[in-house]
Amino acid sequence: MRNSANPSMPDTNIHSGMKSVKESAGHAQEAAAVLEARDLCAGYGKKKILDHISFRLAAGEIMAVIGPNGAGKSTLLRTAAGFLSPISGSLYLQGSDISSMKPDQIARVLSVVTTERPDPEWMTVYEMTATGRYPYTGRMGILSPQDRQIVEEAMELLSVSALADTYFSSLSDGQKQRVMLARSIAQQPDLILMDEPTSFLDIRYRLEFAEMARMLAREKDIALLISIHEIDLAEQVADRILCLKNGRIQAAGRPKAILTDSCLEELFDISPGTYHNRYIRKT
Amino acid sequence: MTPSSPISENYPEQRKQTGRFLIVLLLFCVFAAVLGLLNLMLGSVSLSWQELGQAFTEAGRGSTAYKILFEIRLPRLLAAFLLGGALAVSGFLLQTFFANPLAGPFVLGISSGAKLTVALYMICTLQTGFAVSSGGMIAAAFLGAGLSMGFVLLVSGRVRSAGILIVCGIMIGYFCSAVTELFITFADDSNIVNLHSWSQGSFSGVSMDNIRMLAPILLVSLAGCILLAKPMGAYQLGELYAVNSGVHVARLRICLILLSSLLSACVTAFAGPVAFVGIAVPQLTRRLLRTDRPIRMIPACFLAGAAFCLLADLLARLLFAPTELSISLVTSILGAPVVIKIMTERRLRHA
Repeated sequence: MRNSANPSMPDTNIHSGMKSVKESAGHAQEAAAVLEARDLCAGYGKKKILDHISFRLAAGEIMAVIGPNGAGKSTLLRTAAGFLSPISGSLYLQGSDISSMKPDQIARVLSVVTTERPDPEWMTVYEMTATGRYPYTGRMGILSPQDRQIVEEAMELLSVSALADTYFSSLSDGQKQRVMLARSIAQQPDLILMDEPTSFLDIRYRLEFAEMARMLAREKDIALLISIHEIDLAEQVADRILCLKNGRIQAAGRPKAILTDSCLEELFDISPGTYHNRYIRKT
Repeated sequence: MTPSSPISENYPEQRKQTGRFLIVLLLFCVFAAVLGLLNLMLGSVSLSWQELGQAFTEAGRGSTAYKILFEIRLPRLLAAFLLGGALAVSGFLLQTFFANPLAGPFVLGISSGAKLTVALYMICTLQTGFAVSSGGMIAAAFLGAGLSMGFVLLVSGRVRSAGILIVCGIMIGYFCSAVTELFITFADDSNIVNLHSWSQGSFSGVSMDNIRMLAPILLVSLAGCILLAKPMGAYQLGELYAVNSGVHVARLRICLILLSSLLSACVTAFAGPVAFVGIAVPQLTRRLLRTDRPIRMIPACFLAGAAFCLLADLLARLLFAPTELSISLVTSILGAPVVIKIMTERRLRHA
């Protein structure tokens, strides 16, 4: 499953404060990072939560952000979505500075999937998926035949076509998550930001989610930045892991290198040996 | 993403929904037309078809029927139509803004805030001997609505609970009503009668001059609402999704506040506070349309609110004629059960 094109490639371990990140040779275009943070500080108002963060995310790459609660995972995603503006440093979306982009320009490049799902009354799955076309439709938001085709393809890709006429509120959590993913695909993004997308899902849907995420990255060449609590799921889904602690990058690199007992124990402040005993990981 | 194989699946619900929208819209139009006609014909003096027809011709000018029609019943009908529609749309905007199905200009105290400033304006101008102008009334009402809205926004910034927001709104409403009553108690005797019937809610005091002032304001506001339909749709999914759809959320919120305040201010300025139309009508319309899409809800709510108020006004005039009921009394009796029914069903659906 994991990108094994360059098995000899050294794992990169980036600590906060280091500016340049070595990209894997598998991604030919060095310059075209979908998302790049350079010395980024961000937070709410004057309160700094992210502290000098730098990283690069290439097309089709999946990066999982892990770390304890309050480490800044959501802040990172909210800043990248243009919901919060950086305090200092910058974020580049396909090479252009995000703070100089208009909201609708950003909306055509990245889409979001959040933890809390909207709960609209009387909205069908079709309508919900179609809201992804918002940045592309005209003043009145009327869907063109091409828009409809894209919506239908997105539903097809996530196998929710059969539910098209069902009301969103009547779906199960797993189905809702699929629809929200279809919606984000209908937005035709190059990057999807997912804030704890598996929080409300049971184990079956979590596994399904991992599969869908990998499928999107592979088939649509979409980059994914996912904040996630489940370490095992992060390992399954991600090409790279970014460990955040107290707003700083504690470690970053390939899952195998990062998700070691000692690294996780340090990240989550658990006493040595505990992690391995609690969660028996077959290595 | 290139269009690969054409997907020719049918989504019948999509077509059904459009059909339903058109049917419901037509139904509301028919209701409004029939009720409008009844409003013109029925009353302490009933007019026949012939008299009605004659009054609209050159020959009928100056007849009793003409006077009843053009001086009393037509302005009142237009007021019920326009203001009822405005109230329902204002309720829909507030429900969208607060993402709260119970929000409305009356429960949030916005109507009462407007009532307070309008009463103050009327007492002051009458006491100093100036004539009360339509523009002044609307300006005063807008100011009061804005003040109440400001308080509600302060509360909503501090608490996230939808229920507490509503309770605070109701408290603001009580407070403003109490202060208004206080002013009325100490106003001149001659003004008390007028103020009293107005502060209970009634379409009877609206003149043709008022309508000429009101109609353009309401139509422009309504056009503004329809222009906001698209960003409102994105806002319904939540703030983060709205930003990610390219919406200027701050700008949209300001527009929604101004428009909903203006619409409910117009109503309060001329008809006093009218209860439950702002909540019940959007709820009912949403259920009939089976959609919450603003582009459909705004025109449908307007027509439904108009028809609802025409019915309420007809009942207010006829039920215990010659005694006239206040409009809020009728809208409460019609509207409150609807709200209770819908809210309990909504709870069940989510349980």
